[in-house]
Amino acid sequence: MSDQLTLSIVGSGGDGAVAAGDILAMACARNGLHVIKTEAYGPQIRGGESSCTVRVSARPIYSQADTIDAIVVFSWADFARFRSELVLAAGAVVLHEADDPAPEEVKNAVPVPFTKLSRELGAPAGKNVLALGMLGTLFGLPVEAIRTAVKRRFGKKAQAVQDANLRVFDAGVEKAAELGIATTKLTYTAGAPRLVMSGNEASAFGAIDAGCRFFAGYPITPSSEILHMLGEWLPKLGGTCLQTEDELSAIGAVLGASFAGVKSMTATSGPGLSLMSEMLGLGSIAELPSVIVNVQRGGPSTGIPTKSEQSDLFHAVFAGHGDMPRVVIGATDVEDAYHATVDAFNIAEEFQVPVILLSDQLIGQRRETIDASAITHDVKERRLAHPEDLEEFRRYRETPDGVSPMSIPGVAGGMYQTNGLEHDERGRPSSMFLMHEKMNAKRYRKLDAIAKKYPLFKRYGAADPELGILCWGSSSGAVREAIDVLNARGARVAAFVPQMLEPLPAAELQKFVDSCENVLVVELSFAAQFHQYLRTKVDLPRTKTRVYARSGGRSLSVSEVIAEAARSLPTAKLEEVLA
Amino acid sequence: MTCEAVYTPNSYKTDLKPVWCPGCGDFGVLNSLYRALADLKCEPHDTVVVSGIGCSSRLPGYVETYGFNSLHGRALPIATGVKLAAPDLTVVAVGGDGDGIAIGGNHFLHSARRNLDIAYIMMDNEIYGLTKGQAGPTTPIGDKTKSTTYGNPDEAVDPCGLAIAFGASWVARGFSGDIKGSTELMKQAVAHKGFAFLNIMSPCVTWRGDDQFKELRAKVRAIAPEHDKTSREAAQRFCNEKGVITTGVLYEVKTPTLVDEMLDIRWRAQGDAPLPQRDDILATFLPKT
Repeated sequence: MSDQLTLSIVGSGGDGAVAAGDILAMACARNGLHVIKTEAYGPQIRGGESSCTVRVSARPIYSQADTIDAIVVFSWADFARFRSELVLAAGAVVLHEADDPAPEEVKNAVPVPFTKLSRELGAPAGKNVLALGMLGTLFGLPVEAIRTAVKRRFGKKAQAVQDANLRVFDAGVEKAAELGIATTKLTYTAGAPRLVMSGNEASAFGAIDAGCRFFAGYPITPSSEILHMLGEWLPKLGGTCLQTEDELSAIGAVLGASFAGVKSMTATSGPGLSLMSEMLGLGSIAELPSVIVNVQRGGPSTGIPTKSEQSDLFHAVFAGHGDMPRVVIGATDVEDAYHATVDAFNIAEEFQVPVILLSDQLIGQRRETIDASAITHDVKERRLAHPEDLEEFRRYRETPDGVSPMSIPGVAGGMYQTNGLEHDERGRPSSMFLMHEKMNAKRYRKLDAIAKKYPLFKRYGAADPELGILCWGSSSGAVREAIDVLNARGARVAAFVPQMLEPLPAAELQKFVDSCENVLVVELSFAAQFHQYLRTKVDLPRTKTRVYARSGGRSLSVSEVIAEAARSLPTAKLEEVLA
Repeated sequence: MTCEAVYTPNSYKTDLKPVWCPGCGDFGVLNSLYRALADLKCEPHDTVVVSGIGCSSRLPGYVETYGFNSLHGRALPIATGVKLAAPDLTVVAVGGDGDGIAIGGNHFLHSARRNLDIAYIMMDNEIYGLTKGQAGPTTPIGDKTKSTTYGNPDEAVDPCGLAIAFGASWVARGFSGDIKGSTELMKQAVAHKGFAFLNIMSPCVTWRGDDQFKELRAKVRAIAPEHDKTSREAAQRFCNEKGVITTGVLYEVKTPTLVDEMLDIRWRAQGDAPLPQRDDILATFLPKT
């Protein structure tokens, strides 16, 4: 009996590995289980190898599992290509295509005539359905819900095709019983259905919920799903989604639409953010609200487009010439991608600044169950000019918090010229030192106000930590699970995860650091960008700080965090927690 | 702005004094724009003038409307956002030849092919003026400039030829020395439904010499009234001409604008159905029973 398990399916294009994973995830979510589903592909656009991994759990989960409890292998050659990502647990159940003999090093592999059986039953492409019937039965998954999902999947096909696939599914159920292999069944109580969303979809929905009605973007992996979803829904909502000629144009159109009074967003990945850097500065000096979602991937340059990394932090926080206030938020998981997107709009609109939302491939493209009731968030609006502001209107008037009333085209008396040139309170170009100093101070005051109003961070674990872990973004999932394991074994570990990265909640972070006997910084950036950045903002004593920073391209595992954390614990504890 | 002042050229003037050199062709363009806006009775607060960077891109500051002086080469993306967000606004983009064809050339192509419903006025002086005299995309081949000590190695492009090839639905050429003619062309450009491209030869007396006005004036010929404006081939014959500069409307067709297309997309997406609610969207992520 177990309250969670992880299943993988690997094969070539046409084997239906990813489709099977989808069906499995949806059926489990239907029964109220928690699910995290990830996919991996070879470089081919179509027909290449693919793998799909589904973690199913009766309790909340925050990360993929480190190891796989059961895998279906349609082709060993394809399995070999994902070797470093598909780590089998000791005693893992391996079902493989009988026509393709298992390599010697894989023990206890069970041959199954997937192709032969499904062909005999009249569904030549149904081997993934056969696998679903087997996996569902072997591991105590909601078989009826999976069967219904299969039926729905083939609902639009001819009746004969649907019937054949259901026959194949039922044969899978029988076949599993025949095998007589011992498996650990999932124990769970069925609950209300959960939403299944990717981080990119959660960001897109967050934008819609925040009132975004203009999106301009240029396709780039791994962010394009945001463009796709907003391209479908914004027109229905009376909004506009434009695919531009490049990222310069995308963010330019966003600033233009925002100037005209519409909440606007673009989404991209590292290379696109690089191109947008000059426009970020324009948005900052012109004080136009804008939201830029950056779904990070391996860099630099083209890097690894399909895999996650946390190495755009410096770029997000520092990109651009000149003194340029901007806000950077790091989403921690799929659900948080929704909240962080609405927060990004709220801050952009209230404070008239560019807000960069850092997500990454692991958040953006994994699908995860979410409780629908968690998907709500307050929405804020921009400070528009009132009639009294419009007498002798000064668009960039000095105010205590640096935010000046904004007028939009169409408003009589609100006319002004916005400008990438330094300007006076009315927006007229100025090259005078005193004006530059005054306007810089005004623009930077907004960051102080934002830091006070939005000290966004999460804190997990022990109240009196002997070890405090500092991390951000998607790394927090594995860190959170590691902390639960460590603390269950008697350690006192906590984590501080700033979602607001600029302006950083430095006071809260400093307090946390001071409360920890030891500190461990964990991140997926070879150059340890997060650690370096923290050093510019808080006092991180070298004598008690260790850093675990490595390249992205493989997601952070829970055991990796446990091992690193253990090294920061007293020796006696170390043996205890690693036992 | 007081009501009685509206709709005269003077009412579109701001209190800013242009930074341009005495004798600059851009003064003529600015004066033509004041007249065109007044003649068309453009409501100042419903008008947005957008620019990039360069001498000519300073223009929005001198026009009493909403204005956006953006980045080098990026006037058109900004104008795209403004127009799509608020289609009822009159949007005029202005800038130089370097801004629009060199650094911003890609946006020129795509704004034209989308038939973005704006007027785009290019002040063409065949030089980079603000950076003090380097060769630009319309500088004739062989010309010696600050950046081409031994002569410009690049063939000049004709902005109107590009606009026609890119799919602009209205293309014209004017001369800043002819304020009356330029005003007429600007009025048509602003009134045109779709991407209206107006290239105005606007001499740079500082970096192209005092004689540029005279030389241009000698070459300018008004287009023949019988010219077939609907023919791309006929229009292209007035591009890259040698020794002559033909002014007037070279090309004009009626095609759906980007705003039309976007409205049509909304209709295709939603039709008469009520606006979707957030729960309708969330429901698409709920596993089906």
